[in-house]
Amino acid sequence: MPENNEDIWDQFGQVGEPLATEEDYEHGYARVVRVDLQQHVVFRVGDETYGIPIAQIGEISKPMFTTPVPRTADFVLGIGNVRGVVIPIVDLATRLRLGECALAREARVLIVRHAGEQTGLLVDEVIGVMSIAPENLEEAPGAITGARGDFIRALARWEGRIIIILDLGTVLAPADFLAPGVRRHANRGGRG
Amino acid sequence: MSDPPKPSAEFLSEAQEVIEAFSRNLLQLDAQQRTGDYDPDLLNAAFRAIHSLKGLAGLFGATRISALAHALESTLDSLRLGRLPLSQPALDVLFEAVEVFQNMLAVFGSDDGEATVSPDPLMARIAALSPDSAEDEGANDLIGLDPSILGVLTEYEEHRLRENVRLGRRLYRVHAAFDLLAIDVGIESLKGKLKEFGEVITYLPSADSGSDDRIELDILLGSDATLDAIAAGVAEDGVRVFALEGAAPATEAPGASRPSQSPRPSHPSHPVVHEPRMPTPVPTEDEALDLVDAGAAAMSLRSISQTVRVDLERLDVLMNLVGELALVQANLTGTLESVRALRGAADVSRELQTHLRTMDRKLSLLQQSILDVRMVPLGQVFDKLARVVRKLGREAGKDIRLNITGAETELDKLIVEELSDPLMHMIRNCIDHGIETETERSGLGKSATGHIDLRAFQKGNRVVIEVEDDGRGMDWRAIRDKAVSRGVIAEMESREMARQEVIDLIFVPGFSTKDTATEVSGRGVGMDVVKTNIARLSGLIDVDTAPGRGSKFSITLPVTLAIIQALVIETARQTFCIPLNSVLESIMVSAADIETVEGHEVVSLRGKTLPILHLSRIFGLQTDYRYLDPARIYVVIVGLAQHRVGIVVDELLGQQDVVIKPLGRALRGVPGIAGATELGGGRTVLLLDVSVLVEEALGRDAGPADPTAPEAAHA
Repeated sequence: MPENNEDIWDQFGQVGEPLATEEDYEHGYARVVRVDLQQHVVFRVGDETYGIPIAQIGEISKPMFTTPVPRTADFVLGIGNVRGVVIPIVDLATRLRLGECALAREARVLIVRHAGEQTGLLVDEVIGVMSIAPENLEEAPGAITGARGDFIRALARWEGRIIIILDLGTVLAPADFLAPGVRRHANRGGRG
Repeated sequence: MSDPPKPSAEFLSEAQEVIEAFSRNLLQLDAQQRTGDYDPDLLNAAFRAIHSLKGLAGLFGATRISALAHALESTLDSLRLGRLPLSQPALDVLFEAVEVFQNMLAVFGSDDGEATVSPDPLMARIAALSPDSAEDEGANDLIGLDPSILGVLTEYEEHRLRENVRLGRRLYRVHAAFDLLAIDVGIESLKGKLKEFGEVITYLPSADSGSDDRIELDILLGSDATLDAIAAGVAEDGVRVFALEGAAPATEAPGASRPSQSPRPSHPSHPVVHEPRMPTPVPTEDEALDLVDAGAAAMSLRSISQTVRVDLERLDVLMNLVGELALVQANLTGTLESVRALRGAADVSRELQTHLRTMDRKLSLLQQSILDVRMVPLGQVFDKLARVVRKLGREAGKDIRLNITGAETELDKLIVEELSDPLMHMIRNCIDHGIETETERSGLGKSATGHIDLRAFQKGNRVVIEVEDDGRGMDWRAIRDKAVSRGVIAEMESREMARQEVIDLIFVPGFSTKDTATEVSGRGVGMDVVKTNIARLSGLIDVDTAPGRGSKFSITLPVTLAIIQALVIETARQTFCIPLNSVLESIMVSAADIETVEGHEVVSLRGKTLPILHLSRIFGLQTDYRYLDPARIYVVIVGLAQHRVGIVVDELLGQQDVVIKPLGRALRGVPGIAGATELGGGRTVLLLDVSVLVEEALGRDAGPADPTAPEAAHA
């Protein structure tokens, strides 16, 4: 799969249109292109492979400078500035309890959009974009339990690897963002 | 990013505006009604407001609001036609309508909510107001007038004519000729002049047909002034004034003249200067009237189109853009430095500097202009308060006069909105607790009428709002005893507290000096809520009171919120901003100046003892003390509401205008952090939430007083 981001961006440009999948290639182009396939951005965190539906991703950027925010949980790297908008940046490795992001050359920040707000997810490497047919998704796997299990929305198989589709609702649960023992202050009059 | 406004949101904001205009008209009418003479244009405006509300509600399917507006419209029509006298009970119903409309708007769109607010009781009261047919008595007071005039008057105009005669005014006919092309401007200007003398009752097309490009009109005017005075006042080309015979002379006291005493037309009581030649309406000249109407309509249309309603979010976008431009500007200034360092680039760098300076000026102008757009006059809130005073005063059986000054003082829209609740509460307190009953007052030798002064004025880049009453004031000893009995403070503690400290106890949650809770003031939630709300707006609140003489609350607020001046500081090698409007001053102390009182660090500043806190410690940041000079410790003194606390920082980096950016849902509410902002060079820094830090420093979550350091702050 593509190493450089150009190809990813090419595919981003086609979001919403049916795209040929790996299986299409295997079966030749005669096959009718399916429209119920879901495209996912696939990335690596530690030694595990994760995916997030492409529709939830606004852009992919190189790690930016972050300002630490006191009294927040360990996985909150701080706030970053994406074209004038201040967003929290999360170290996904710490969040998923896989250690810390190594911040190597391949490290990227996925700007995801969830519940109307943007958050940056620091990952070790972006692998590519893949399409998953619904039948290849194993929804709500029962085998994995506990806190980590809550982060998993589904499991998918792709090129012999297991891809963990993240549940952004639990990964980005606001309640977890504060450091343990810190009580959230009452909302301040509607504006940040 | 934001959804387009829903039709219902559009309806709500527009309806709200109409109701506010209506309410303003009522307040003016109420004040004028007490003097016995009111401006009929106010009634007309009120009528128009309700009429447009009816149309608006119909358009958006708000049938219940529309029905109520319809009923009210009939009442207002009766009022302006004089079928119904403008009395206090009538005004009561109208004021109540304002409340009911607002309640209905508040729940508009929610099914269960609509059931809870019923306009029916009000509808019944409106119906009870319906005019009796007692208007006939004055029917013959106009018999002195030329029937040709009476014949063309509408019911409303006839009523106004009667009203003028009743008030003992003289009637004048003003003849004017206008250029056809400039008739709307001409009539408006003449009307303006005439209004100074009295009331323009109607326009009549003139029989003196002039040339094709001129239109002649007769204006029927009711006035107390003499013919000469009016003639001199409207001295203008083509305008002549005549006295009309048959109207009641102004020799009797206004209001005392009875229709039956009006002189008969055959016995004019004063000489007629000119025999009025009243026009006979000629059908073709109806055009002239139409033109007048068209002129007036065009006027009002024009004035409407000059205002634009803008979503606050859109302004925020603009504001952000300006903030970013300011960053670009800062970066360009950095570039200028590099260019200067180049050899042989002196000319270029000079030119660049000139342009940068121009850009800087324009940028601050742009910033100011956008801020100005967000500014609204405090009158928007004051009008609401005037209604509250009127209503509560009547309910409490107290005669209370509210004096408003500075209603034109402007504040950021958001601040004005957030202020209405705290101010409402303070006014309620004045009425409920502050001002004595009438008998009590006269017993004390005070005027029976209680006074509340509501003042607003700008002071530097802050706005001060004062609420002052001349009521019973607060006895600090009573507050202290109450606080002890309520367990707010220990008795030991109370003995050492200074007067001002004790008075500040009214801001403690759950504190209320009056035992009997009333519907308006309630109990328990009181000044502490006020304090919290004011603090949320980065405001300060102070109270001054004297037993028997009244209390004065002063609120000091920043003028704007979105762009603020910040003090940039550094601690543990991290940069933070502190809103400058909560910074009182910065001082430098040495480690020896810091003392401890019961484990809390304090410094003395001009005889006052202030608790201090270390930013690095409360944020758990590692400070490298090797680089810090114990003889040069910077302390930023911040004030919030009635508290003063010192924050120890490593460095003061300077002051800067910053645009506050929200942190998003996940990080909003991190205690002590209010938001983020960008400094030059792409640096994002955090903005401190001083109110929370102060609260933490005082060892209470929301408590205003510092019980742990009774020695502190000797007033």
